[in-house]
Amino acid sequence: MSPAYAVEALKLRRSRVVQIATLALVVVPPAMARGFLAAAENAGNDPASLKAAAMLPGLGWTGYLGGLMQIYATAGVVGVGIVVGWCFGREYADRTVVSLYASATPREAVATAKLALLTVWAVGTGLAMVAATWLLGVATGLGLPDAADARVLVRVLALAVLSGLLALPVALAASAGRGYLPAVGGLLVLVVLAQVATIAGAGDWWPWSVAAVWAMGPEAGMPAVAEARLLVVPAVVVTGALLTVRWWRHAEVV
Amino acid sequence: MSALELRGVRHDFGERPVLREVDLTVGTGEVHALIGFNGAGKSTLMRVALGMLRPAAGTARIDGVDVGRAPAALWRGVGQVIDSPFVYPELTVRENLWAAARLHGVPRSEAAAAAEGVLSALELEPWADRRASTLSMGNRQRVGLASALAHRPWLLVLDEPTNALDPSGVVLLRELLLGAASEGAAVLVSSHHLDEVARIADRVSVIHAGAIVGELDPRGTDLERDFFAMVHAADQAHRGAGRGAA
Repeated sequence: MSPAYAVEALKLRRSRVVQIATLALVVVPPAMARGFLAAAENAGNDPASLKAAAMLPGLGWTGYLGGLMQIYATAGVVGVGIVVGWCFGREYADRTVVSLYASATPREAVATAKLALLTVWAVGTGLAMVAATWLLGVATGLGLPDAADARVLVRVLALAVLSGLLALPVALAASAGRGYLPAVGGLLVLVVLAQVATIAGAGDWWPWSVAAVWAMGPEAGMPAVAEARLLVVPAVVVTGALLTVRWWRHAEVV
Repeated sequence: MSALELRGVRHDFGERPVLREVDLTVGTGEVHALIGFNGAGKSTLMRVALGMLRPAAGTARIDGVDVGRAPAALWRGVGQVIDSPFVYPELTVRENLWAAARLHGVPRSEAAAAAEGVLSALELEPWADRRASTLSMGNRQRVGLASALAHRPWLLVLDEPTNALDPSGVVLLRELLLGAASEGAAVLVSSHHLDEVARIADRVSVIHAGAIVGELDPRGTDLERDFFAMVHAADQAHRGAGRGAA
């Protein structure tokens, strides 16, 4: 493993931010979705049950996975975005970036390693979240998903991976803004714009909405989206990564 | 050829000039101290020297190579502490030093030994397995200095390296810098402490208002008085030039 990858991997492994975010992303969304389903299954007249029943597309695995998609479409971007913002922004906020200059390991190699490892972490976390979803569903009496629900589970998996990747451009905000706060601001802008785009009917092409709109599908009242449109996601992720690496190559110490 | 050579370096922050036609060299085996008030331009000059800042004019060369085009192999021989030290709070002291060694080009098979070497040299063994977040400021500074030395650089650029160090740390650093210089390393160090500078420097340059205004003899009898006299003379000359221009 090259020095940049070895050192960045060590920093990620030791980081409490990463540990907490991983746990939160893997456990909380399935638990919340299962809680909503339990409330809907309760079929009571209390506000929580009525609200949950209105929010979910059905009962059983259908309702569970439908609720999960609504939660993870935002939680995935926010959770991964916080880690991405921390990973890049901390170098500026803590001024450790200065010690990465005048080094045998170019800064662009450090930035590339960060992005690559965060991609692996985001994808791995998404996979772990889906595994936790399956386990929690089975363990709480939903039985095994049928073929239709299994196809939805695959869409959840795709959404989890894409949501994580969509947070990677936060690295550019953290780097160019030289800290955590610009990263948080950038993340908020992405989340708000995704909501606005969906409400305004642009959710089937806006990069930070299209994955959720595609995953939820017409059964959740969303427009049908051709799979090819999902290519906009890697396009913005790669563009963001290239701009981030370019920033790290050329930025001066101020 | 000088290990580090700055020629005609000029830089401005907005309309405020911070470096004015600075020439400076550091030879192999030489400790060159840079002294001046806060805001005189010491840190900015060091940033230019290491390619952290592109000057408005002038050149910075390390071993004859423009720092803007310096390859990784050249940086392998450079160690620096500018601004904040290389200290990641989530890593232990030992892990920080290992990481610094790896990033500075020490092969994987030798990085652990390099880290152990500077752990011992900076007397950091008692804290080796503690997270850096739990260290005092002085020990964080020691870790930063150890990180700059782990790969045995032949050029060291240190900005106020005695910051936060206790007296034993200052003595330790002095011995390490003199030892490095005796083995051929070139050392550029900035400081406010004239007595410390007198103990380690072969040359002392005074920087004032962004310009090198002269050199002091580190073996002089009253370095402080010589320093203030030089700065005062530079101010007088500047004011005289201003009146002449008016």
